[in-house]
Amino acid sequence: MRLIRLLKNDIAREAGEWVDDNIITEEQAENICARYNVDYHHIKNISIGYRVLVSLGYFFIGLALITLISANWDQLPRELRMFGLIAITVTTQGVFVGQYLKGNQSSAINGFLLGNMFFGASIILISQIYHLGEHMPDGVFWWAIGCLPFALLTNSRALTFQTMILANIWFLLEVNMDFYPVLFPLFIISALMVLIRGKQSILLLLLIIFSLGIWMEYSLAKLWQDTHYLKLQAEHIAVSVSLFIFIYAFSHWLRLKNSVTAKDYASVLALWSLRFTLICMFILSFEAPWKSLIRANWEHSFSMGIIVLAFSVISLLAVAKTNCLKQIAIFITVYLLTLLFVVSSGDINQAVYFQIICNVALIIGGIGLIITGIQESVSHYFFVGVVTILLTAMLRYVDLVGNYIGGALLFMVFATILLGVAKYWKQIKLREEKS
Amino acid sequence: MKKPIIIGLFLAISLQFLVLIGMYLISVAPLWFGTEIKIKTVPVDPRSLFRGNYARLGYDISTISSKHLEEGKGLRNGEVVYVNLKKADNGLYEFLSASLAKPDTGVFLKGRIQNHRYENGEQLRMKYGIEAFFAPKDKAISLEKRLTKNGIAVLMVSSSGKAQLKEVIAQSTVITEAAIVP
Repeated sequence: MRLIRLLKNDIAREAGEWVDDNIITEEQAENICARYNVDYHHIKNISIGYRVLVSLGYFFIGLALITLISANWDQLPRELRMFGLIAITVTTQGVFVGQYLKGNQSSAINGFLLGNMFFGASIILISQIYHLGEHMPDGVFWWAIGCLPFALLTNSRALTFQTMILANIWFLLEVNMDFYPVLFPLFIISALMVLIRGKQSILLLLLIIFSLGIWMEYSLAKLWQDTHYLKLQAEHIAVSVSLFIFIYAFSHWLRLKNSVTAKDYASVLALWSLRFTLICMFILSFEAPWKSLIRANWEHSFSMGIIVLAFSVISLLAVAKTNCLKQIAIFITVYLLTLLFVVSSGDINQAVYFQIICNVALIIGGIGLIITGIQESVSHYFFVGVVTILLTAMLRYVDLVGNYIGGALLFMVFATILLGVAKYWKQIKLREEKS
Repeated sequence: MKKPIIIGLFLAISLQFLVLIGMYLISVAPLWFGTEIKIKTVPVDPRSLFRGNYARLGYDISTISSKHLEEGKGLRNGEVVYVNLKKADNGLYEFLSASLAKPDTGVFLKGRIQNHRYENGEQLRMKYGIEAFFAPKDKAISLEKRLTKNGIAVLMVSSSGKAQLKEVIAQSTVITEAAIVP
């Protein structure tokens, strides 16, 4: 999967410089940009720096007002403080609704961001004046719910991102206190609507995936709870892994779509699935996590199994028409077999075997990434593969071997792998030159 | 510009306005419609960086035993607990009982558990929204000194158990927030 599409705005700016240097014509630059669904002329004219400065300007206006209020807080009568805060919030939003109606949408959205900050500050300060802070998540919920209509009506990525950050804070505060926030899906669905209808936003996409993940995990915690408390158990890890396999499969399904945005999202999802997998495997390359998994009660293994199987089937269906059906089928088979062995094992002495298998898988995965990187000329995969092998070597030297002879043998094995891959690369290059 | 979006934006501002006004009304309702009760208090800590200066007040009911509550699935941080009060001979209200369900009669305060793991869950730290009394720094410290032993908090309690701190009495002196903050 080509990752260069994640840098398409930079490509557009670079193309502008090539045109200026008479390397390519403007028409060619437009065609290059059209390939990545970027407006060449728009990108050339807008300045991210300008937007950042305006946003920071509004941010400092907000800070100045809050500082002014704070400095004179003690001297202000209670009612004046309260109505002052409400007036600042409503006036800011009203002024920028006026801007929005005049067609200054970019400026208005910055203004709504500021107005929403004032709204939140008002909630915090009114809660404090009137001592309403017994259950803090309630305040964050009202802040998020107040921001949501602005996000939906303007279809703004920034406002939706702000709302989702607040909604996630509310959700995590509530679940941390063992309360299950029923209304959280409302925020996820709203954000999905903006993502589908609005302009492309990778940050919002990742935040929605994160929100969906935590919502699903804590919904299962609610389903599986045997006390008042929401506990994350070993079953949640199994579900998380199957969810990420599904996300990876979904990225391949998205890649087949004609939409350029869908292809961009596919690249991001594939990239983050890969990163998650590697982080997960690095953690599992130690013995202790396997011991914990073997020791776990697995009280909900039946319902967990159904969910994991459902994700596996959907993942296979998603990639049925792609060229990575075999790859996903291997992933799923290896994962399901490992899960089956772990759940049925019960003997913590077997943890070391799982650890060895995981380390071998890391090395094979690293080699696979290097080869993919060479074959498809994707430097990111190549370097991730190299880092995977080096990190595995370092972790095992520290954790497993610990003596000179063992260390030397281990380094020899890794040297052989890296030199072998280097030779393979040379062969590929020679073949390319000949052809 | 589409008309529904214009109407929607004005409704969005109205929603934020209503949330803020709603918070205000909920908090002042006990002061307007509540029943006045007096309860013994002691200061805990005189200042807060974010709120300005205030005296933090503690009560006998700030910590209650979990034995007073029904055995159940367990208590969570933030769990709502109703604390029933009875009037003692000296005119001050004292702890009578506690329950997770809202009482039908009597004077009671609605609070939330702050740390159910305190002392292995046997003692519950409670918060009722009456723990802070605002005053400028000097007055907050002076108030704290005068309240070392015999402070009395005057509360207004609504029928839902929501309480508001009306004034704090130190020995023979009556201190109100209105008197301190112009």
